[in-house]
Amino acid sequence: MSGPGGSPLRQAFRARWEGLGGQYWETAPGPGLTGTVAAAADALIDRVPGQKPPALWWPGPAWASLAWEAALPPDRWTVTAVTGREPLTVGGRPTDPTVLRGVAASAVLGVTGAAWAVADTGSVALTSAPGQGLWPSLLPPSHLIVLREAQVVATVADGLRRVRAEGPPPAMAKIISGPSSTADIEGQLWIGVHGPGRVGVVVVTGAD
Amino acid sequence: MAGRLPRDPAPWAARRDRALASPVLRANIRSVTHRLADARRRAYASYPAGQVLRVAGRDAKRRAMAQVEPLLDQLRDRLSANGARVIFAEGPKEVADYVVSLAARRGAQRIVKSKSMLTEELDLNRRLAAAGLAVRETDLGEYIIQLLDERPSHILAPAAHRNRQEIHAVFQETADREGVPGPTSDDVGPLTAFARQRLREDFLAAEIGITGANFLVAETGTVVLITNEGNADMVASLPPVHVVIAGIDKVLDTWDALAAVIQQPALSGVGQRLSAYTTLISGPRAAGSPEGPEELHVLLVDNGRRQLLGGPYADVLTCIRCGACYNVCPVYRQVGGHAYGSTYAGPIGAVETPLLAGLDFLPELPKSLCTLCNACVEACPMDIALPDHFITLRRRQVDEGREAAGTRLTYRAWGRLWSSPRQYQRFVSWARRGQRFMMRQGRLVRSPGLWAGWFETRDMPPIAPETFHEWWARRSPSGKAPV
Ligand code: SF4
Repeated sequence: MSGPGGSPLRQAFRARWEGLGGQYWETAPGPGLTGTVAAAADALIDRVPGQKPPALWWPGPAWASLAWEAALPPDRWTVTAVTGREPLTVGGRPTDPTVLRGVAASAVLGVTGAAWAVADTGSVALTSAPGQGLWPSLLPPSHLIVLREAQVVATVADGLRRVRAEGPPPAMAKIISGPSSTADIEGQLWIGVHGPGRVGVVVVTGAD
Repeated sequence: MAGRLPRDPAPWAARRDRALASPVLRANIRSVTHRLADARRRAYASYPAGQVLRVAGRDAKRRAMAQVEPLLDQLRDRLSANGARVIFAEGPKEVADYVVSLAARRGAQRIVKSKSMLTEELDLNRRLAAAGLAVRETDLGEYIIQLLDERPSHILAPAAHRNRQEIHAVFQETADREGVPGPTSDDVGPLTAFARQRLREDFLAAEIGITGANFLVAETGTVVLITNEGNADMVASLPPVHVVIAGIDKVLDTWDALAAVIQQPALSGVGQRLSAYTTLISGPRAAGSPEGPEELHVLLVDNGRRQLLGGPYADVLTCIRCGACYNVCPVYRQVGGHAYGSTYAGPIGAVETPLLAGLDFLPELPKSLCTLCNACVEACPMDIALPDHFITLRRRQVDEGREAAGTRLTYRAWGRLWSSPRQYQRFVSWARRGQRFMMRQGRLVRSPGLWAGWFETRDMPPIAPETFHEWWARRSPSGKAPV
């Protein structure tokens, strides 16, 4: 664990990510994580009292230890949690990906992990892999990312080098830098066109 | 071989007058270009690494353009090994035929597209529509102009010439036609929400997605897409078939070259370090993966590019379509994109259009739409020698006899007349004698012959009763004017 305020990379990432309009939370590893994810998830949506908004939980195998029932409690959310890898499973049952596409399209929140993040540009990269889909980062109006501090690199080039070090690049990788936006109508900036208008990241601090 | 490009059939004078007579277009183009040019300046000023990357990116693009053919072969091999189908296509017809037969094989009717200047250049939508396919543009600006049946007026802001009220009207019309509620007001939020909703249905229903490419990496077989809206990601990951249509000039040699250039479109285009979405696609859906298209097709299109390789204009092929040159160009800032009559506008469009399609295609572009102010080359992240190209293209128009004989002879005579001081001074005194017939309210407003056109939109002060030369000669003991 670094000193107060966090490591320079984490601080730089936070400053740029927030500068782009992203929301940011951080927490030490351990029991506090689920609470932070729960708070972040709540902050990223507009809750209608009495309703349990649909969410797609798909942070991938790296976060298998993170219990979705604690982060998105079933009394507050209608959760589709993708857990298994091959085949994909929801609630212990194998699931067809096209079903998940429909779930992603109607969810108000998607939760994913990340491959790496970039301090210099305030970006988060996601890669497709067996068992890991990118739709929850694209179709719902809000997207929450869980990230480990050790995944933050200095530059885009450093991140791309990581991809290469792991062999041939994945079928799809995306580098997200802030919310979906447009300035196509009279040059006015508008947040949230096709992709999520609200993006948030929970960083788990620490060297690994 | 020369490429085939669509053009506005109206002559230059009509296109120019139409642009100058449209206050909406002029106000919007002015604000968009100034905003983007300022954003670019600020982005580089606050980000020294951006300059270092820019130079590395420029070198990477130049290196790639010096070895295009082997890189394209490598790209094809890598992409094929990754499971994609790679096709080399000559021009518009080959591309359209390929997509039409692909659609027939898949039984596909509905196509979604993300913004691609190349498919504009190939007039692809019109060709696909003629074959009975429904094509939907999904970039917000492109969606607007598709509904209006217009062409983009700015490379990054295709609907920059339309205001909110006009956009609201066409959205309402669309809603009525499709039997759905229209936008709740003409504010940007409701307009955007309407488009999001309509296009969302198209994304989920489409059987084929078509994108362009910002870069292609030969070493890994990777297609790179950059957007701020996220629509290219939808197009590339929702339909079962993804077709990439890219110019051969998009190829880069290595993954490191990509790292060098990847930030430039955003930095130079909109003044961001990276656009909201940078997406790297290296193949169709992998085994065991839940997402991605079943089929990935990559069409590598020539359409007049190969003939430029290795020649004096090869640097034009390093253009990354950032639009920075548009935003600083004093001509573009006045007339906007439609006046150029070509897919590509601004300084790069005026140079590249005749280079791709032949010097007789829209010859007024290099001739009349550049003031040689050099603003473009200062803004261009790839250091493309745009002003030099304007000059050599003009010279070629003259040398190759593409100018009307009358124009050529008049300029030659004029050049001879003003090339000696004595003849110049004699000319001035004739003109002074004649000018009283050409004045209104103390200004010169008309001229005979070659200069008549110049005065159509301008006037100038009259020649003084005594010029500086004459004043000097009167006072100097030798009685001679300075030379
Ligand atoms: S010529 Fe240069 S400035 Fe103009 S669009 Fe191309 S890369 Fe950008």
